[in-house]
Amino acid sequence: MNELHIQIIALALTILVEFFIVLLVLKEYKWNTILLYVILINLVSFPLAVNFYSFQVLTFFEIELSVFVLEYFLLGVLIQERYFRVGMTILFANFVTAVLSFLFI
Amino acid sequence: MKVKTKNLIIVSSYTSYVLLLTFLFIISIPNVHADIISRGYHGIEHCFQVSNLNEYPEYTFISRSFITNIAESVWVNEFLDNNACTKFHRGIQKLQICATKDKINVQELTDANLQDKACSNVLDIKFAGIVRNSNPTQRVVDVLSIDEITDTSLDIKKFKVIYTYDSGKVEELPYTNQDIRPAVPIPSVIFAGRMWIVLSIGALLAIIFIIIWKFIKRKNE
Repeated sequence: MNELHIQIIALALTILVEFFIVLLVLKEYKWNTILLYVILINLVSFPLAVNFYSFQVLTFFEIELSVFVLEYFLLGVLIQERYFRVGMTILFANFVTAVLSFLFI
Repeated sequence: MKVKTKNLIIVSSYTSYVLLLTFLFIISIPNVHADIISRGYHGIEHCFQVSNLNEYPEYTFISRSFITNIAESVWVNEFLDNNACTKFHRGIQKLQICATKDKINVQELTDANLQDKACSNVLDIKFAGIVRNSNPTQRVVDVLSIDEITDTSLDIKKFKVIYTYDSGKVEELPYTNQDIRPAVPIPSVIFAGRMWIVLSIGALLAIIFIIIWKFIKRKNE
């Protein structure tokens, strides 16, 4: 398994975990809308995180913080309401994925 | 009033978007210091050899390296060892090779003493001793070759470059252009990099499209 395969699996797992967490909190939205949003925001944030990590431009904590800020902003502008709930959801989802990546890296 | 508030939220979102991009751009710029390797990069061995020094046993060879650093720009003169790979100094800009049949010692390696020796044209050298952490190159050897030595001149060319990778693989590439060091792109890294960039930009465009679509939809309601 090469680096690209590992990155694709990591992205798929991140999307899956974040999708279920966001779906649990933002129950009033359709699951396919949530899935689309989570895929899109992760396709933006994941390559940035991977590049920052592989080139050691930022520390692990700085990367996670940047990803949280970026995803909060993107999901916020996509949903355009309930900013506090969106923020808390993204914070929790990223905390879970960060713990998972910390355990598996 | 409600529409105005919503528009205000969207406008403030766009402002936040610009601020966020600026923030990400600033933190993504690697730190650059004069003599410190930036984060995300590491040092590897970069040296040079003259492949056919043994063909001229009557000569003593001297390398002249023009080095620029934060404090000064200097020519550094050193004897060349026939078999050793001479390390390039950090900040190397130019290289010249001189030859002499005279016996000279280290103290005599001054610019003034080398003026009447057979010296090559000045070669431009781009330092390759600092690479990104993702780059698997371990060692870069520039191989030069002497074409001819006369009493007053020395004709030298960049002949080939030898890359040694972390895996132990060695790759030799001939110089086809004296100004450009031949390099092999690393396919998997290049492909992965491009794929992520395309996906990322595609996703960002899709998000912008959704936001505009929502904005137009709300305006028409």
